[in-house]
Amino acid sequence: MAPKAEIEAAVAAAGGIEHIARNLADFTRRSRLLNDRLLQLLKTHPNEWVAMPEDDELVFADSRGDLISKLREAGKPISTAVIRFLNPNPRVLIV
Amino acid sequence: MLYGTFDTDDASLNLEGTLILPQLQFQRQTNFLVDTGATSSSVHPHVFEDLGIDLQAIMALPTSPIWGIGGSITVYNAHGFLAFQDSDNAYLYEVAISIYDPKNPPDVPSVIGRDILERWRMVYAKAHGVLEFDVLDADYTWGVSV
Repeated sequence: MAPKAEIEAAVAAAGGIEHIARNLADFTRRSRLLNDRLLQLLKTHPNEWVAMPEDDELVFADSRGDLISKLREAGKPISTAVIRFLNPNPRVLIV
Repeated sequence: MLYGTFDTDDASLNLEGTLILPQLQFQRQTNFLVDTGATSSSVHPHVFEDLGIDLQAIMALPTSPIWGIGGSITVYNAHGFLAFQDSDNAYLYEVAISIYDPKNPPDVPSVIGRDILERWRMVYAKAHGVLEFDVLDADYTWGVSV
């Protein structure tokens, strides 16, 4: 395991534990909000990509690349956005 | 206690976490599929591509094969940390994270594997809407107030 000093340095470089925790808490809140709205969104925006950035306003696009471009053009942070594909035919996964 | 969710569309098990890769000066929150069948945790390269991270930096990392039901794929191995949190604490785990090959990524999500899950007590009862993880230990634990 990394020395304690290395771990603390990595956390500090990432903005500190309170910053990490605050961002993760907000990301989790938005991720679950989006999940709660998923059934409706699958009806209205099937086969599209959707993002919920920090302002909770949904952004839609036909591809992930276009979605990122839209977020960037709107000045919305990408690193904290919740992003998912609205797949009306969910995959069957064996992983 | 960490609380996961069930995906609305396919009922897969999900938990949010933060990936920190000091070598790449990278951190991002992302959704993970909880996968008790996976030996280790791994991430899809789109978490990097979205942010315009130079994929050459990832493809300069050491590689190894990992095996799944469809055969083997190449992954790039990075040293990093995964962070999770509940209402009281943030938990940090030092991990060797596998990054799917950006040139040929599989159509599977990022996963939390047994490298993390073996340190939690998991209660999974989809019929009762329960997906809980009791954190038994972590490499580093902080008290937080968020």
